[in-house]
Amino acid sequence: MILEITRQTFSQLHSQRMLASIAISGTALSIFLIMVVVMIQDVKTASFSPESRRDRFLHANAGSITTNLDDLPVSDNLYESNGSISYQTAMEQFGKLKTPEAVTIYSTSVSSYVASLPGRPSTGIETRATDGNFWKVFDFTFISGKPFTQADFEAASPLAVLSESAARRIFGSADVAGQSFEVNHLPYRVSGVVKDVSTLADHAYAAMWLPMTTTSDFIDTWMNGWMGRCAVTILAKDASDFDKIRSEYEKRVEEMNKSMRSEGWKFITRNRPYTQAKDSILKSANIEPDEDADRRQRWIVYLILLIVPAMNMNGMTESRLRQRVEEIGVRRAFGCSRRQLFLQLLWENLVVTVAAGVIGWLLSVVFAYMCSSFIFSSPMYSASPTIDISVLLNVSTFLWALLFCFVLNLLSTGIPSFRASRTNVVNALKGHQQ
Amino acid sequence: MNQKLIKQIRNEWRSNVWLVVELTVISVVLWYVVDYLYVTTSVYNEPRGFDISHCYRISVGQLSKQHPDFIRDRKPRDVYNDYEELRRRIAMRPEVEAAALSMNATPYNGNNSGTQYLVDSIWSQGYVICRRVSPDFPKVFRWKGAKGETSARLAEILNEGHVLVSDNLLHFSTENPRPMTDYVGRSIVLDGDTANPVIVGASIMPVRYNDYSQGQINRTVVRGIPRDYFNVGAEFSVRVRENMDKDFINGILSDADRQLRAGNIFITNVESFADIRDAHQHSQRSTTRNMIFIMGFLLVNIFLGLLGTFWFRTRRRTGDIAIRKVNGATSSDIFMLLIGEGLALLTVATPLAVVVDINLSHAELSQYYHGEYLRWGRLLLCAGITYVLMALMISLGISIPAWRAMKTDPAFALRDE
Repeated sequence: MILEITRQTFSQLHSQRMLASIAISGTALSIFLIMVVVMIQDVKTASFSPESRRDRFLHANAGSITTNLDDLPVSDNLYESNGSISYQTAMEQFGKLKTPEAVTIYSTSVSSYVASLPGRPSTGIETRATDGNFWKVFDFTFISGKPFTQADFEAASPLAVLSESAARRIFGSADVAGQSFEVNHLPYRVSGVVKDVSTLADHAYAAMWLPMTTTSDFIDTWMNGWMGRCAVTILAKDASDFDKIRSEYEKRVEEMNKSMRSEGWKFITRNRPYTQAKDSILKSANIEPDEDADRRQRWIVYLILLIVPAMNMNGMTESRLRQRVEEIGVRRAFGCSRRQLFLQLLWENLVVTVAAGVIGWLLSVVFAYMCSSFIFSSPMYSASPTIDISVLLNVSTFLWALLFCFVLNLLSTGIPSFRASRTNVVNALKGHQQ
Repeated sequence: MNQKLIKQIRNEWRSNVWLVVELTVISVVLWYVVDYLYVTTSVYNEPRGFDISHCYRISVGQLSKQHPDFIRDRKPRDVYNDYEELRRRIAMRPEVEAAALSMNATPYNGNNSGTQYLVDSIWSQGYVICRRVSPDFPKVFRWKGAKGETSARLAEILNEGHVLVSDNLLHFSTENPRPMTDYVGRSIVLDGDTANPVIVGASIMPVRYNDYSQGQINRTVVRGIPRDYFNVGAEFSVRVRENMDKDFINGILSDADRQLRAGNIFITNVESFADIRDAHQHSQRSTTRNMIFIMGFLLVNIFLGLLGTFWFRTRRRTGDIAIRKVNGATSSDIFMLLIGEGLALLTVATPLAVVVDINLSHAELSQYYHGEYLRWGRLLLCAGITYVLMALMISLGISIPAWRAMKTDPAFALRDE
């Protein structure tokens, strides 16, 4: 039965080539655009190395302190500071949490450090200062050597992990674990070399990683040492622990605030730490990201991208069915039920929509892969992102594509098919649809 | 002709209602996009108040404690002197026209500091940017005075210890704000420090925060550098002489190790402000790009929708087109009748869409520009542009089936009658 309808549909399309190409290109275009929007959203939360456990991550990119000790209404005499926190604050508030599997403290942004072999010209390398737990939270692929440890971090050992391309720039080779070079005019040793990291992994990304204790990020603080240059990522044992971690964190902040009160400041948490999804829409440190508003905005875009072509095809399907009114009449006369007819018309259109959907989906994957630097480029880093095709080809994206096809089909053919299936047999045989 | 058109539209009312609804929805979304692009382009093209061509930012690092050359117990004033020494050496390079130090003051900088003012009993409202700069800063970014002062003159004024203020400083703080040129030579109070008022040395043309900024954030107060806490957000900016950009970055970096170190400070990176601008404005540019994509998508949809619908209509109407022809209608009459049908539908849809547009503007969901969301001139202009764009796509979509209809041979079409 299904095979038969599919065959009928194809012969229909064949006989009306112009219309078929309009319907297919219209649907394909809208699925293509929707899928690009979905993918742009997807890469912000999809897991890929070295951020393979994003579903278990909680981030705190910044902290906020205020002089508003008693939560008074906002007035001119109150001050607030929002931004990266110091290592000490991060340690006090997050480093001692009991519930998570691991907590890492690292510099919020990458900065350019000069690296060189003695006597050779130096090159600037995008560098992130981290602790030793960084390598437990993020899963880098080591192609030479190993990461530095928490003990190395505490001892301020001059060790560096390099990305493959940074190693090639400095040494001309990637297998350089154990070799010496200079970072910011100080002798360092390569502890390990990792595969290059995409800028899309925006918490882990850098070209060189150093123990923070050997950099100025460790000591650069302000506001009585509360604020500094650090961000925190927590790896929970399970996503169900998130609430427990947050309440444990709130308690630690309250403790810390008691000791700060005499100095006239306190920390406010703004519901930190944030999940990967919430963190990905973070714009500035002084505003809590509004996940609902972001979602609403995205749904409006989907809705427009769906409704416009649906209305388009609605008009076309209506016209097309009018041409087939005699055929519908004959079928009804031979005992085809309204329900059967309705479902058949719907199925017929679903075949077209799915065919167009697959074309649109494939186009979007090819486009996203070919133009990744154009559509995914990260505002935080100048390097272009690389993207693994497996991220774009994942199951959830494909299911989304199918769902959109189905909704599009229902929107565009539901009403005309329903009307066509209710056509009066006598009128239909005469060629009138009323 | 008009009667024919109306009758024709009425005969196909059901599918025409769909078209009108579709055109209305598209018109609203398209108007939003046109409005966004109009406002963004207008803001982008307004004077920026600064010039970044041939300008570079030099980033510096500090030696860590482990380094053998690390100097201990450096006082804040020593740190300032180190920075100033490094600036002096950079400024002496032959290719450098001007070199300046500053704190959170350069264009396209995500970080900023704020200040509050008291001018003539007017307290500042909202956010005013405070830029702490060395005297050469106006020369690097070619700022201009509101009374035509050159950047060299502005540098002298800063050197005399006076402050520069943007001419729009009082905007948003009071009704009918006077330009700051009226206050040149008079003293004002900054950050509530009534004991140490400062003198306005010159009023400058407003310096924008970036290419897309408008409103409060384009107001600024420019002061000298505080020598006792010069570390937060410290920057070096350099203007290179014209035609000497080539190899400037490599030249500085290769001399960095030998000549360009002072105290614990050394150079880590040199970037052109054009690159910094592109990174800083990444999200605005991608939003603009997305808007253009959506516009293209909507226009293609109108084209496809009208093409598809009229393809059928002309095919079904072959008979009556032939009769029209037999009765003396020319090919171009037929063509115009079909195009007219599409345009008539658009003309019905547009007022409906404009009503929605007005409501969206009232709800402040449209773009903010020159202090308001709803300005009738802009609304009508953007609705007009939307109409023209849609009319073009409709004509294009219908012209293909209409062309076929025009070619109808009456004898052939009416053979069966």
